[in-house]
Amino acid sequence: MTLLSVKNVGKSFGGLNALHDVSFDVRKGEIVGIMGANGAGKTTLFSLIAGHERPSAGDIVLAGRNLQGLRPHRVCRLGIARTFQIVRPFGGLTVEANVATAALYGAEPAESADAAARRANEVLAIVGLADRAGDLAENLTLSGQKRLELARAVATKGRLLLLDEVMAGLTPSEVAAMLDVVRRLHKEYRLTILIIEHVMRALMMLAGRIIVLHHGELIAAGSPAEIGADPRVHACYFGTAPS
Amino acid sequence: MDAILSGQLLAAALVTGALYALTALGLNLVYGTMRLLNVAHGDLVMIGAYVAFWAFTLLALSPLLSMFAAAAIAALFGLALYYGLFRRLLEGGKAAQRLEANSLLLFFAVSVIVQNVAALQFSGTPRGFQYLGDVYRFGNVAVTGNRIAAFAVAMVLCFGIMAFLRFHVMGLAIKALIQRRDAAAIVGINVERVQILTLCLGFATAAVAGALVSMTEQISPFMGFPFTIAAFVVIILGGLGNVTGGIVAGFLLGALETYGVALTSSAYRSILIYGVFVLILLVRPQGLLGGRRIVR
Amino acid sequence: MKGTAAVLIGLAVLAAAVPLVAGDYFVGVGLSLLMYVALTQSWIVLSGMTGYVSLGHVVFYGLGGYVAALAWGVIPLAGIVVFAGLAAFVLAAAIGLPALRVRGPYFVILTFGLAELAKYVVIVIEGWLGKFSRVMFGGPGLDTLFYIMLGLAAAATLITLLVRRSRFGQGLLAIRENEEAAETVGVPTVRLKLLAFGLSAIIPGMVGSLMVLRSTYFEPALLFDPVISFSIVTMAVVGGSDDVKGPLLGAAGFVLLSELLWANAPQLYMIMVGVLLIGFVLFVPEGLSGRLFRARRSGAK
Repeated sequence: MTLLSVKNVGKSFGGLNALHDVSFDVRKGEIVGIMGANGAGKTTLFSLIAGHERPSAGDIVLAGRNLQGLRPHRVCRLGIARTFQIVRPFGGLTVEANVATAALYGAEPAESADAAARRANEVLAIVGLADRAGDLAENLTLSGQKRLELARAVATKGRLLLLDEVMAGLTPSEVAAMLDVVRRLHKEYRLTILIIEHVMRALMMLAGRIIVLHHGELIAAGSPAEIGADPRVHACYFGTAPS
Repeated sequence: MDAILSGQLLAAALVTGALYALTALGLNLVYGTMRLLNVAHGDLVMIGAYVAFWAFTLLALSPLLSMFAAAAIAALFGLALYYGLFRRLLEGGKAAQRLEANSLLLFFAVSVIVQNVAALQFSGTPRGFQYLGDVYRFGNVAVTGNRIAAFAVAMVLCFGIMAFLRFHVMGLAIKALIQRRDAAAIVGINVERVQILTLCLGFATAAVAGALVSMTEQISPFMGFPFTIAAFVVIILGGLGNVTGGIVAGFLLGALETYGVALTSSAYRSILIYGVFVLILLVRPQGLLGGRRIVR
Repeated sequence: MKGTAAVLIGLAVLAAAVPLVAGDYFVGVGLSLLMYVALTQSWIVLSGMTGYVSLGHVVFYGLGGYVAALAWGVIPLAGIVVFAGLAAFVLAAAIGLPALRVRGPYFVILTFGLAELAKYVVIVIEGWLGKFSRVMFGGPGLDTLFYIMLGLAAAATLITLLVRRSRFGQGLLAIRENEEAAETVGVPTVRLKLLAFGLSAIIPGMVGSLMVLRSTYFEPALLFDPVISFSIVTMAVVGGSDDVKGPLLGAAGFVLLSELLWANAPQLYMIMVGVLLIGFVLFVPEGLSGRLFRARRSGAK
């Protein structure tokens, strides 16, 4: 069943064409990876899907519902949750409060403060922050804040999760741990995930399908193996054909 | 009648505009390099005015001379504020960063302290003095000598500073800092030294404007507020950090105020200024002439 | 929590006893104290919780006063107080939508500018109407005003308390911490900010109407006094804006200070206010209540 449908989406900022005629579908339960050099339009795509910007052209449809022109909080209500490339925690609130707020307001608002706290602690346990629940979010390390960002997004109970470079800035062992967390969340909450990632190893291991953006256009889509062998992708990344 | 009115009004608008441009110039430089909105700026004008007043009254010194003293005093005050307050804010501890608005509160507090210290020292009654009061006639237009002098000095200073920014190495450093703070540091500009210089320059120009104003208007401890608001209107109109825009906007506001008051009445002057102020902030905080986006 | 409630109720009972045992001077001081408690608690619902610091809150106070000046003799007291609150709410709703799109320090100077603009507009309107000041005869007595003000202070404290423990309050805190992220987790930021703004205006409007009737004299320049806005902010900063005890401490401290200094040396009072504001913003940003009670900065219930 198709959960998200991106149809001929384009976005220009003044004279700059950030995205042009991008189309792809995401089926329920899939993990789809998005690849591309910096400036390829990946984060812009997320901004459009989450409602922070409006497409200049094309449509974005979630489970049959056109998201055109909806503000971010409405898009969240409909079931899309996202993390940010540069983390944005609620610094002065505790870790638990960060996630509880998402639980109170998200796609499936919790019925009471207690219910929200329960859900928060559930998610925090899975991402491994249960023991930091009472700490202020701004006091966490980068790795902790990234996991908090993830927990907050998941606590909204959104069906579609947009992950924007969650591995960026992490050490190899932290990357491995994060991979594990994402897999567990995907399973526990039956999520559909769209993930932007530069850490190739992580992307290849997580994603069932990968799409490649280059200068705002979708140049390739397929399984990790197919993408790895695709000459166009190679040309963009390495300037050579695969050996 | 119309001809006289328009010539006379034009002269008044030019003088007011020049003084607004000069006052706002200082604020623009401080904001541009340090992103600090100094709401005590108008009180520097007041300090300059009082320095000129006392110099004239006690020492019979012309404001055109005592303005240098005013500038020096204001620059020293700026140094004191920099090391006492600004530094802490610019380094940005958690407290300063949590609410940007906090920095504004600090400046409001400084403003209140300065105004009330002045009121305590000098009493609240407005004072004035007469200097270069002879009237000169140009065709149908009659202007007093002090207004001509104020206009001339203000213009010389404005263009002097613009030239400095364009041609002198330090001026270029200031412009660089205004445009890209982080990049300026990377290319080897001593950010702190440039900031201090800019601060002193900004404060000094405000004080000079005050000395000039004291020639043409009455002074009082609380005269600073309207200048602060006017300066803010001007720098927002001209684009935050945009020096040329600020000078143009200064004249725009001078014209708006002069002609506006002439068409309606002086009771409306405050409504005009605050109205424009509020309107600009609501509609286009990045300024009408400037194109820079404000981080919202 | 039970402890806080007990203390608050105890204070209210103590306050209620004041007119019964003390003379007019103390009742007057108490009135000022209650006024600032009411104003500051209301202010916190907006500025403490969303981070949109208003330096122009006197505009609601002044509007309420103007309503009272216009309607005195025409409508009974209760009607005036209610109407004043309503008018303030409407003003907040009207300017809130454009004003709350402006962030950070720009919002602060915007609110200041709005309050001054309102002041001059009222001055001009009164000029058109041929009035430079108004006098209101036959107003309610000091004791009556005291009890109504006690009610308002209690209401404002209660509102702040309830908002903090509510889902609404949680959303406001999220807006303060990171507005973009808040929207992303489903917080309807525009709606909540507007609501907070309106809510923070009602009681100040009512307070204004009472104070005009207390002085029996209305003059726009006196009523729309920026010193009031400034005092509110300072009380919140010094007292602490993260729980209900803060404004109580802040108001008490400042009323004490002003009683000592205002009559003889108003400039000295203002200088001290400025110094305190600087000191607390730089060194004790969590305020007295934060420092004394180690209030944990959290939204978790």
